[in-house]
Amino acid sequence: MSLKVNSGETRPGVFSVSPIGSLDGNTYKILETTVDAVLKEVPDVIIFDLEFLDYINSMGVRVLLKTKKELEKNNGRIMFAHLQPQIRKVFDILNALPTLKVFASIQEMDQYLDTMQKAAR
Amino acid sequence: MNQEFDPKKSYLTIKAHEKMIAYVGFRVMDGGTDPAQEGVIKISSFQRPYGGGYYTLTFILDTDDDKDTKETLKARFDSLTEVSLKPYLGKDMQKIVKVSLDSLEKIPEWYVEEVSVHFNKIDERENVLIEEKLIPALASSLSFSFDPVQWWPADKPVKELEEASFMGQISLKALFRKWFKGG
Repeated sequence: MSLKVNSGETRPGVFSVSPIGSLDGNTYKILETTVDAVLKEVPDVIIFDLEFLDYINSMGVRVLLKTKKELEKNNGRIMFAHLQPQIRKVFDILNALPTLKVFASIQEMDQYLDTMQKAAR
Repeated sequence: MNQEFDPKKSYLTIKAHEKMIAYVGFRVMDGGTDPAQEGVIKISSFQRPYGGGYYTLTFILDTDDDKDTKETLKARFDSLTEVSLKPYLGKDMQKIVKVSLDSLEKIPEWYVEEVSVHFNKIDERENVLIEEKLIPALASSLSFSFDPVQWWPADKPVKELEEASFMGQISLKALFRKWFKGG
């Protein structure tokens, strides 16, 4: 199965990355390349919208871990929206991303970011 | 009134409070040049006030939901014992505790195993113990090929996690007692 990745800056310093398909040993480089390009922008937040991610293997988990590690070097944050149940199980057991923020929807995430921005003013 | 014990909920709470210090990717070698499976390990540490402590290694391996692959991996982890690790880790190692998480939560595509390795002394020696002793010991005992260890940023705010970790480890002892004594 293939992987397509959409990405973009949704508000200043906030980037979304949306993998579509299967994230495995054959496709993880596609996501990694996109994330590396986003990291060069020194983002405050990267939001992974996983609504259309069908499967993730250990290589995919490594990309997410690397992203979080790189973000933390500049006090950035990683967030997730639409975590699918089977992927949520992996995150729950591994809990490799201990401070991650998970949102049920983009709207919920927008509300959170609005609140954070207001608090920062 | 007795409160019903939920091992899965308790376990996940404990995992959430582990202090992650590193992660490392690996490949399962089966004698050929191509890896049979790939995986990643989350490495957490718990340090006791006197200097001893342990590292918890949470292995997750890709299996493509293949029963034979899971059986093969189980056999490899069964062969990982204190006896097999002792030649590499010496007298500093106290014991190992293994928990197969497949019994707790079925995830078809993954094999998940937790191994905690206890040491008499771990303070200020994490890099040496993990990179120069523990990883080579695992590589030899399990026939895994490891990538370089990726250390988690040391300056991240972990106060809350550290406090929770301390409480979590106390609960872990109780949890194991309940599991293995049927309580």
